[in-house]
Amino acid sequence: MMSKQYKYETLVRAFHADIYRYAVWLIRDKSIAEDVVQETFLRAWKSLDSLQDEHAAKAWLITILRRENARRFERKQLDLVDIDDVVTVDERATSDGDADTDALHAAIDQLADEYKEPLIMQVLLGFSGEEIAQQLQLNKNTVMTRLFRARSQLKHIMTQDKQTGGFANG
Amino acid sequence: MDELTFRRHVLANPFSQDAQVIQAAHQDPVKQQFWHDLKQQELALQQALQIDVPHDLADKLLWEQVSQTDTANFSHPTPPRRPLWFAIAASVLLSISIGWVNFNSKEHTFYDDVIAHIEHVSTHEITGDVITLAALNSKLAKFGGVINAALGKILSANYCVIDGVESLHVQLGDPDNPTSVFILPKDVTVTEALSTNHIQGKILEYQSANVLIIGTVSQTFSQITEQIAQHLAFSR
Repeated sequence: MMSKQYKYETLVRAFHADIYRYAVWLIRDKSIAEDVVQETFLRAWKSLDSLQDEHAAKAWLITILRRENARRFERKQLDLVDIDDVVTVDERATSDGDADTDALHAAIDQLADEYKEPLIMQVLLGFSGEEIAQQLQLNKNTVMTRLFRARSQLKHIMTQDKQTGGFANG
Repeated sequence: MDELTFRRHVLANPFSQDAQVIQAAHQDPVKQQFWHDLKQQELALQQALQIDVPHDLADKLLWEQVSQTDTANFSHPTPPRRPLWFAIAASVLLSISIGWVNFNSKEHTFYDDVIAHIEHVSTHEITGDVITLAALNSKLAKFGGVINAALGKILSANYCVIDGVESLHVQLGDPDNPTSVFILPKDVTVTEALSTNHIQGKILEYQSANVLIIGTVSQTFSQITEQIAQHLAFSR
């Protein structure tokens, strides 16, 4: 039988990248995202015995991460932050760093959280409509509607950018 | 399928395999074009979401877990209280067993776990990525160690926790028969009697750390042990 430590190492190595990327998109700040990922994995370690179905590990970690992020807001008592000050394209820069990707990053950030979050869960994490519904405590139809609106808006923003000859960051 | 239903469907799931959706696209070039553009956008979106991950994040997470876990797990384990008769019996036993290697249960379990770690994890740790000497030294720095000359091909260098002991596991030599080098805290001792018919084992004791070397190919094992002994130093 797999030891707890080995199970944990496997969990970290298999999922840390997806969990981190999701955290950055959710939180919009790399440094805070890394802290929340760290909290998430520590909490996962503490309750690793409760993870029975290893196929559900990613969803389990995302549940913990969302809870940890919510706790962060409770602790901060919803400090008001001007998102424009926090979000920069560079913050999410990929190794490619091309203009189209940067424009897409900015477009994703223009989406309201209620549209962005299911979209990222689907595209980045590969979650099904049912899994997203479970995570966000919504019914599946609502999730599908939000996914539809998210992509509609994204398409609209990207089309506008092209018509206006490029996207001005910030 | 009407335009709105089609769009709602593919916008919710651009790579849908729904037969009705596929048929609707085949029958209508406008729908087909819309879907094609959407799939392109989706591929770009997938790419855009793949932001860079700090290269040492997994190691940091493992390290943090070790640091947060009860330190009693990493130092010499405190033996459970024994009754007086046990102490007397033990001292008698000790007096008649001089010359025997004393494997206590903790050491034995630790060595077993090291072997289990090698068996289960080693191949997964060898990813084919180039590990530079600088990268290895940056990991060794947490133990105050430094290697001052090239050791040949470094196959992997990962922090790991074995039986609650934080260590750095380095693999060197032939990817098919790698030699493992474990950098261990000083308070972890492993018996010298490591070698069997199949496994070569050696512990190098430094002032601030112990280094356990395990391999299966005698010649490579000896060369690597010699190189480690010559070029690995600890500053604290």
